[in-house]
Amino acid sequence: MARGKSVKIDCYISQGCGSEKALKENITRALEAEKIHAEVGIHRINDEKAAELKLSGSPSVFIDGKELQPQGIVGFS
Amino acid sequence: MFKDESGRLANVPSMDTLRKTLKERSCGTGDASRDGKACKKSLMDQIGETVRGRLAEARLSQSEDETRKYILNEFAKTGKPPSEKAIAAAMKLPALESARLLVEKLHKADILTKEDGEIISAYPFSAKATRHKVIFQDGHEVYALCATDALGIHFMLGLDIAVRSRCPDCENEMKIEVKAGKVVSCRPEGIVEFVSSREHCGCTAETFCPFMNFFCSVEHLEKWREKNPAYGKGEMYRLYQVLEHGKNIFGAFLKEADCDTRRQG
Repeated sequence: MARGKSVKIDCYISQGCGSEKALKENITRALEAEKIHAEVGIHRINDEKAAELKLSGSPSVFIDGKELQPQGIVGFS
Repeated sequence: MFKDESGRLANVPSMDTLRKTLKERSCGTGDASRDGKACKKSLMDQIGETVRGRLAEARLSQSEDETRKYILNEFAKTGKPPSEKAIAAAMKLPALESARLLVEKLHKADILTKEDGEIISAYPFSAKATRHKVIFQDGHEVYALCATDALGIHFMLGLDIAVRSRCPDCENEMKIEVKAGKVVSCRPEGIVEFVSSREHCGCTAETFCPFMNFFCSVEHLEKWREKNPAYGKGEMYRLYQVLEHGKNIFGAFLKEADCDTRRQG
């Protein structure tokens, strides 16, 4: 049974990035291990959209709107 | 690149890093226990328990609970509370004084609030204008005490609603439509709710509700928190979470018999 409140996970991935499968696997396993319910969104985006969202890397992962380990490096690839 | 727990770099966040962050976020305040004990309840869970708890603690008789429901139904229909005279007539009370005493009991139990002898709110409704206007499909409108209450009205009445609320940062209007238990549209798309955890005491409607608001976006919320440090601590919820809280608090508000059946009035 899920505990605590639900979370929302948004993953932004550049068009050519090959990390989607590994990312989804880790998220799924982490959610199962913690028995947490989450709404997971995988967003494939282009450089323009990444710049608009001020993303610094691919993948960029946000949990409840807060970025996981913000990179602080300009450039989305 | 992401650092794992031992400092190594990887293309994706490790399962341990994700587990640690998820554990913190799912507990709302980032103070998840590290020894496997149950995590701290979210602020909204605590507020919900307070609202439901006060109703249970009031130990209303069946007729008193019927009166509470009558007041809520009148609020829902007209946006205004019934007068004590109307309550006495509708509930077939022997005298106006009986209605006054009953309203006073509900007031003392923090089930409704009064000002100058008149009812001004009964969770989730407010007779005074608030940031949160709830519009029903037939066009009539009511005010909700707070953001959670606005969505909770959908579950309490089982009616489709639209909520119009103003962002405390930019004062622009936001619109959320709720149908059949789901948010079917929201403008702008990034609406969040913030519940301030500032120290409160006294009645929930006056101390908590003014600080439970929708914001256009996380960015607007952060700007508002910077400008209002006294109220800046608290918890942010996505709309699907607000919906869940509204359902938990108000879903059975007009259905359950939270009355003391030993004291049939």
